[in-house]
Amino acid sequence: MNNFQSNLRRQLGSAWDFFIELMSHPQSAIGTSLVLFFLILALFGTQLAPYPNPNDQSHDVRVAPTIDVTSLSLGEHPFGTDRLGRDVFSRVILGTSSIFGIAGFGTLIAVIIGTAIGLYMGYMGGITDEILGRVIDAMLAVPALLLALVMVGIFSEVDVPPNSWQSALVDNAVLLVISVVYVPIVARVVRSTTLDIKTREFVEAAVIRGESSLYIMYREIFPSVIPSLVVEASLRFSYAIFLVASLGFLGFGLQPPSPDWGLMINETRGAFYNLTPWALNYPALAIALLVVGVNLMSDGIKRIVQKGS
Amino acid sequence: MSNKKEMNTGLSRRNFLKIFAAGAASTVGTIALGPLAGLTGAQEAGVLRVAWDEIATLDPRAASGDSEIAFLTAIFDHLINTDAGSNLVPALATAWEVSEDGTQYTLTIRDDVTFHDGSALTIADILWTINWQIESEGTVTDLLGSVESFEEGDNNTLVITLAEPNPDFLFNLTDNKLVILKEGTEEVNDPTTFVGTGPFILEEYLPQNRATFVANENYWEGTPSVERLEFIFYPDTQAGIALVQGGQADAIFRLDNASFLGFTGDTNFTATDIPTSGHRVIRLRSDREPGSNPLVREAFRLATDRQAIWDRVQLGFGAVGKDSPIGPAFGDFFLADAEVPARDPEAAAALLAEAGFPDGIDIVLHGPNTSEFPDLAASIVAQWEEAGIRAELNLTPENIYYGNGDWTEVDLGITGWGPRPTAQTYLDLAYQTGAAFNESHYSNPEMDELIDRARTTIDSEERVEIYHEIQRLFLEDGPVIVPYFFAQYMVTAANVAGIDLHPFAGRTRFNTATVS
Repeated sequence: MNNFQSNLRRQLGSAWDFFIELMSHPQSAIGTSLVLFFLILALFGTQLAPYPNPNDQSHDVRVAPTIDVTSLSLGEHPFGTDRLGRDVFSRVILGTSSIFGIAGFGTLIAVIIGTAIGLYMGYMGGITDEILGRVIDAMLAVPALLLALVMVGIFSEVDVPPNSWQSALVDNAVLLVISVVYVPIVARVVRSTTLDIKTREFVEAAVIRGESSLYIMYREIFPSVIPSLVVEASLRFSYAIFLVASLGFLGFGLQPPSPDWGLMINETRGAFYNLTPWALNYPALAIALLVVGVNLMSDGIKRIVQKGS
Repeated sequence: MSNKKEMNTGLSRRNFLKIFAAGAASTVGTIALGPLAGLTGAQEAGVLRVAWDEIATLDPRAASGDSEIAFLTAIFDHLINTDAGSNLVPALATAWEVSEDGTQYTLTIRDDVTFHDGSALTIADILWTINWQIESEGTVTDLLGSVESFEEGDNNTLVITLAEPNPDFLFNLTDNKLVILKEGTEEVNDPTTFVGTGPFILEEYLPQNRATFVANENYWEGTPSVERLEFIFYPDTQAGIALVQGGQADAIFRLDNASFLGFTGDTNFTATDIPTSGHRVIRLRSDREPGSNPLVREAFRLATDRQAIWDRVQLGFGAVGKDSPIGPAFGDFFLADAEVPARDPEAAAALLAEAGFPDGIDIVLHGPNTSEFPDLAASIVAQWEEAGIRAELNLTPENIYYGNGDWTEVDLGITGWGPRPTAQTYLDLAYQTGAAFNESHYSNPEMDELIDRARTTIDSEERVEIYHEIQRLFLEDGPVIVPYFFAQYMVTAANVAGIDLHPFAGRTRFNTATVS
């Protein structure tokens, strides 16, 4: 068993043990269950939704939610239909995958790049650290949503040839924006942990052995950074969900007729709220549940990690 | 220390509240605004307060928006007005005669009209205004392009000679911009200097805030029923609606379909709607694949359910379209009993297969992303899908879509056409070979010939027949789907009466309005 694996084992235990630990605490159990529930919806939404095509229009327009409380059975449109006769239940289910995908992948990219930058800054120190540190400070000075809006705005104005790599970038603008907005935050967390770890004996031993900087960063320091990184990543994920929903709500995220939660809220707000309040309430509830779930789970992860150290 | 505390309580209360509040904010926000709706502000008899969107320019050569035209309509008069049924209504001109060959018009001008400064209106003022407009090289210049001369005739008449007959010519004189100014007017950007003949005299103007008018006691149509008229300018529609709901304004004209529907059930307000000639067009370029094949055009039409779109997107306000720009607002010209084939996705798919697209068509639908356009696009795309037409949406801001000329270039697009006083305008602008806004690049000699005949035929019965023929041709071969004609709305407080809503809201006249 090499150093990397043993470190990982020591810090986190096996994944299963970690999961059991997470579920043993009521609050984090609720949070984790909520996240798993939405994860299943995201993965199998097309199979689970009664109307797998989010744009299917029923002939019944603006139908109120049809849940029969006495028999606990769901009617044809459990969450009702929106102003165009589309099934809100199906659209909420089908919207899960986009918000999970964009927020999840965006966070993942931010974590990978942020970790690399943070390790480099923390380990190298000196002028590199100074320069990158100031850049990160500058980026953190701008509120995330504002930065995201500016970036999405720029992306939407760019003229790109269709079906090129540039157009792929523009199409995934929100995902990129999430990554860019969260890279500095992740980098800062990783940097501060690295600063602490690099003074430990096992790092100094590796330096004396004559290992390369790259080896030391990734084999010696990185495993010790993982716990705080996991906590940070789960926290970023919950903020990313919020950011994706906010951008959708402001009309800068996915475009109609996508079943995006934020977009659904935006389309129904205002005068349509009086006609089809359910078309706003259910996606809003879904956002609230998912964000609360991820936060509870992230608190649980933090608790276990801190207990471990 | 704080870490320890959080470890014990899991999620801190503050964090929980923060998350919960944010998640629920939009819902609560909308609910909380509801009860405010019933509040009423101070309301005075004899004062009419109208909510309008903000004004960009009041120069009569450039003004175009509802609020701008409404401002000019309050202070000035037009030679001729139109009503909700697209009929000519006398204003400064009380009567008109057309020569036998249709090239000479003689308008009798009222002799009892005075400007706000007390001077009498003369033919010279009218001639000066018309020339001033023509010299501006604006839209009025185009409208009056076929005129050979404007002259003063005997007995206070205006004699207009045309190069060729134009049965719609008098409608050109009703143009929104063509308000009659006093001869020699120089300042047109500062409304406080405006001297008109209209029913109201400007008292105070605060840009982006309000304008106050007092009734013109010497008005030729009689002193207006209200003593004062106030325009209150709002930055966006929702703010305007809030003004009316809160009782700070008595009338509003520009509002979205859903907001209007909300007012229809409320006894505190009177909600009025009339169909206009304004419509939406979904058009397929007919000069290249795939739209150049008439079978494809027919397939698109067969895959569309206009009634369902009208019900959903327009909430049933306005009128269902019949795939031609000539709508019910044009009275007899509209082919009311035209049979639009019922939606049949299978038949549409079969037509596509016959046209060489057995696996359906992949195409991009372009359009603006404002107003009800996204809903219209989403609705029609969902309908087409069943017929194998897989349309991807590409919606862009209105000013960009129309501004960069893309709208006439793309293969498949949605276009909004505003209300126009004559059916001929749409045909001339968009459906004749080589026309300026022929967005579908449609070219059909039969259509060209019919449009030409309609433009010059003076006999009204014959014209009706030609327009009906044109509509049949649109249904058979046309490049467009016209799902609906939109409505013009007016919401007034219940104590307001006497306003005749005009299809172009800015031309609605307030001199007959009463506030009890």
